[in-house]
Amino acid sequence: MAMAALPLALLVAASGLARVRAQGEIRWAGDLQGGEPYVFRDPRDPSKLVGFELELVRALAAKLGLGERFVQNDWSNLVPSLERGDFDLIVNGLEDTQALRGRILVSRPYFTFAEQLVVRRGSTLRSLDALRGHRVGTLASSLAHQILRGRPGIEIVLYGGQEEPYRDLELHRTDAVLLDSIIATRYGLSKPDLELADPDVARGSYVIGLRKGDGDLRDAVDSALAALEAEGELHRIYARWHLPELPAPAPRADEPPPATFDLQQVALFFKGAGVTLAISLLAMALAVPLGLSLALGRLYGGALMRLCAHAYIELFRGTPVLLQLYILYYGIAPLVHLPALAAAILGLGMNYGAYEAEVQRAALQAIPAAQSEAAAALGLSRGQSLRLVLLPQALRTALPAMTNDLIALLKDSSLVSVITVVELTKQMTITAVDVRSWALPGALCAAIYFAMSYPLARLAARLEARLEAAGEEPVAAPAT
Amino acid sequence: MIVRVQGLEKAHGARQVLRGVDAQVARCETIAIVGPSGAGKSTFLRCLNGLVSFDAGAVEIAGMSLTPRTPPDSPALRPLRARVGMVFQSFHLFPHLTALENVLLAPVHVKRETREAAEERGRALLGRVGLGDRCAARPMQLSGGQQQRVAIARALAMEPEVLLLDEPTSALDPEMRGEVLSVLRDLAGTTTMLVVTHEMWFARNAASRIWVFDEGRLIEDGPPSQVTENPRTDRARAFFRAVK
Ligand SMILES: Nc1ncnc2c1ncn2[C@@H]1O[C@H](COP(=O)(O)OP(=O)(O)O)[C@@H](O)[C@H]1O
Ligand SMILES: [Mg+2]
Repeated sequence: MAMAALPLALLVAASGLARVRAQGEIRWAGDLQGGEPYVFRDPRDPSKLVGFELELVRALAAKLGLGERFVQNDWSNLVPSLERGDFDLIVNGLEDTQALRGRILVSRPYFTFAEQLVVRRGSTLRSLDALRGHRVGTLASSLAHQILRGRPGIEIVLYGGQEEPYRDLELHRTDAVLLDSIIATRYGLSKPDLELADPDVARGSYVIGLRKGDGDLRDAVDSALAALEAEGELHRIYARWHLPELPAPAPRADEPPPATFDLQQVALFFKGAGVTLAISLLAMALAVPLGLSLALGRLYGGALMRLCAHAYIELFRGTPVLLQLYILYYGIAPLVHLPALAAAILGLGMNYGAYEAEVQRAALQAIPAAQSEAAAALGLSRGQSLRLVLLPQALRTALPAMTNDLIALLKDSSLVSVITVVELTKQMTITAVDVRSWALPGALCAAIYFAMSYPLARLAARLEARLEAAGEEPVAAPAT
Repeated sequence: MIVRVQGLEKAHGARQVLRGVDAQVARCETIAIVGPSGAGKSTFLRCLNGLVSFDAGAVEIAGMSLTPRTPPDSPALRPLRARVGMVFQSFHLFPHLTALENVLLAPVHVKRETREAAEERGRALLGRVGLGDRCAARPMQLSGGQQQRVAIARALAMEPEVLLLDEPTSALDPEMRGEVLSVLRDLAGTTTMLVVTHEMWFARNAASRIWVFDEGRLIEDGPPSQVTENPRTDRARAFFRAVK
């Protein structure tokens, strides 16, 4: 729908203002997952949206004599979606940074916040200086992230949502969280074990994001905001949502100049690639023996073992790996306290184990029954027959499918960024925001993935050809 | 008697395959088992090493006894199988192992021979079946006749007291049958063998006795000349007329 609207919009309007007038409404985007108090589903009536940003946009649209329509968009991709024309405005806690201004147009600030440092109650590490050499959580590509990167020695742990940084702080996985006052109040300080260490590390402001070229729309939005402020309407909205208003920030002198895509960035990419490769190989090293045990349990085990193996396979294949990673890292954290990297390897390994189990089972079942009969006729025990006759043959026929699974795993490993592991794809998105362009980081990221998976694909093809030459059928990879 | 079978009965579902077979084999005899297809010859042979369980009767073989309804994967059968070798119609070599490794497998893992000793004997055995120069070949790289000779060497490597062979030449092209049959002829007289075969020439010349199976019964048992030229039953006569 947005795709169809784009060329039309270009035809009708070189001007953003004329375009939204023609539409009769402002399309604005946010991520409902950001939750309270920005824009979110009314808990009492989930068909309705509420939030201070919704009220702000309504007031704004009314000033412009337009309607408004909300577009849901993943928070981390708001800027690229804006650029490709999916909506007209971003109104979703977008922080005013140099990097952002280099990429899109921004309105005058509509809200000023403080970056707040939250720690565990009684902690002695109560300032950024004291946290040198410690782990501090924040949201990826936020102003707080930028501030932390200006402090060498602090180990930054990146999250995608507001809830998780504070949960990990409670669990001692980090020693502090630096985020803006709205988030800190709602998600951090509501936890009894956490307290405020520094209420005003820095100031920042939220702005409305607009596409480059929509200058006249930006001017219209700015004057509407100014009018709303002068009338006290903004103040009334913030008061309704209990949002404390702070004086606007002084221009930040210490803001680093926008990064360029230099060797240092490339080095970070290769570090990310190393993490991707290590996680994938270790997860596979776990998945293969696990899959083999499951396959054997399913084929040769007693009734109970067969049932358990079957249940495991269906459970892990039937639920998203993202959910499994979440449960492993956050869900069971009160019981088992896994470091992020271990949870990533374990989660992917356990998930792929279910797929490998099916590959191994198919490979074992493809062996003619006469082979076990011949082994039995020689006096080999069942275990020996399995170990010496059946498994070596099954592994050979399963090898191409397993290699293909490793390639898939290489790419699926990007999912572990949800549990704070910075691998290749995550590094790419961080760099892309820093250097204000997706083109070069995206291309390099793709090239590195290709360089890792292409040799594996060739290997799989060779193994397959060798099996076929030997008159054997390689096991087909089950659809992942 | 190294093989003693009494009242052997076996049904596959509703179908009675063996209907009370009694038979005995003395050490170093070669028995040629013939009969029309579906007569129960393979089933009989497989009952002798427990690959098929039987419903009633008794089997004594190589000093061990087999009771009805022993599951084919019962661990109790392992000592028996170590003493009774089997050669299949379609060889069933292990494709991931070389000829020599096929031969070594059971001596090393079942008899716990040292690798060196087993290898030496394995090479000698492959030499004996005319494959001394193909020890490192994989089954894939061998002709059918060569594969069957490796399979015979694999069975002989366990130094079995009884060797069961189920149509060892039926899957082979005619020009390869000779090489396998001549290996079996060399074994005759020194090894106890029960060979299911359609090769009447072999049965007449290499066997000490011929057994004729028909509809699950052993209907003829005697020296080759007597059974082939002067069978006691009409059905055996009809069978020999048909295969001549
Ligand atoms: N596993 C089985 N299940 C059902 N019927 C079988 C099975 N094996 C053999 N039979 C039947 O038993 C009969 C005897 O088979 P078999 O012993 O192979 O005969 P032969 O080797 O003399 O040709 C045949 O009718 C065959 O169809
Ligand atoms: Mg048969």
